[in-house]
Amino acid sequence: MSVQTVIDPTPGLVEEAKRVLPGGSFGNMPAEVILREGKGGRIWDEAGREYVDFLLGSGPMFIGHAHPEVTAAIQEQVPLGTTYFGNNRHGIALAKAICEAVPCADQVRFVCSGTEADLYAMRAARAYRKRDKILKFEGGYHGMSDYALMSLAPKNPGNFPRAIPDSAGIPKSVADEMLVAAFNDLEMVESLIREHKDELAGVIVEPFQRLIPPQPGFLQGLRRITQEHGIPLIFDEVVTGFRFAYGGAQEYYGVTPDICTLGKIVGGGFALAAICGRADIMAHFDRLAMADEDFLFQVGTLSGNPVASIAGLVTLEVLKRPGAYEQVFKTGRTLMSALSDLLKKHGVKAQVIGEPPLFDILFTDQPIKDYRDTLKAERRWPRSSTSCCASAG
Amino acid sequence: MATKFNKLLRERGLMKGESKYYVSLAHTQADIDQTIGAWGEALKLL
Repeated sequence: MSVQTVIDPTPGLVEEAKRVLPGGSFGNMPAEVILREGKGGRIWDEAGREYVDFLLGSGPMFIGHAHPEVTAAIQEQVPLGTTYFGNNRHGIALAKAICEAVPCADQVRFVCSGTEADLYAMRAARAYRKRDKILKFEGGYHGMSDYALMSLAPKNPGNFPRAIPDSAGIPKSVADEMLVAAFNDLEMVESLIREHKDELAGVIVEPFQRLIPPQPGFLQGLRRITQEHGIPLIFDEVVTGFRFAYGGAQEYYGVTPDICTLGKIVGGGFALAAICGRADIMAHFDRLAMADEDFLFQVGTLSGNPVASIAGLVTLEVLKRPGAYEQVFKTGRTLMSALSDLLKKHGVKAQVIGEPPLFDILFTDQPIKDYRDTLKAERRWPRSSTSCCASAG
Repeated sequence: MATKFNKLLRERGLMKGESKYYVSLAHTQADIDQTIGAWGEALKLL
């Protein structure tokens, strides 16, 4: 195997990027990584170097880059106009496909990013419950809103349930609207929900938190407790939706929330995300169905635009075909198993963590059940800047 | 460790984010073979 030299493509472009972009990048990858082309499971940088692509645009390109059927569908739509603001048939068809696929989805509202979807899912829970606080889990990622960027990756975690802002620029008062619990700790969640039930609007969770699978019974317990108190349970399925199964993590783990958010795969590589949920909660988005004080105001210029919708729709059609998920899981299992064997062979204290469609190495041999366990791994390897919970997307 | 490992992998033709391998329907046996080969080489250099 030929070793490729250090990435240094087209120095002029990198210099230009550093001049016009803060940090020289869009904020997602280092300035030196400038990508030019993707096809199938491969990607090329501006210097022409070829890679097996496990980045997949941070997840959306689940059926591969430039899939011929998606490309053809987009090419048919573009000459007809790329956005109208009003409804279009592709968006309606995509909403119908989502309702048929996702267990909790009676209805769908489109937005353009996972961040927006999570923000509005929390707003929907507040509108429904007429209460303000949201409980989230430490290390859980729910986009970039002020409410979501709480205790995502605290370097020095505090006492539960106090939320710690992850970014400059977030009003101090927002932290008071969020409660934080430890993932996979049902006892803690149960106790917090009982204590705060009269001020809680909802509970938001990634059913598979970053790379950490739920322990047996955790999601079921969360479902039981929230149901007991009539508190909406929100599954953030921006990452797992249409990835772990056609019906997402809720199908894969067999637990149906009240609301879920979708992104990445559902947009087929375009800016489209969605809030889905129970009809009585989604009704808050309907101006005609709600009194003024119950109406959840939400519009978006590019929401459900026909290009993104047809890209998503064709992507779902490809995934619905027999054998699609079996193939992804087979590839993932082969890779996870080979990597585990290699780590053992080379005597590296590390583990492969995740599920076949989405995994990574964590450089510790200690069990991982929540965010704080991943910090222990970090301390054992001080040079590492990678945490399974620290990076978004 | 993870950062160093990821860098070694990128030099050997694997593109991934800081903390995830996203698997796709489009990945082929050749992609799997190349990936396993790159892991083996990179682990020797850790």
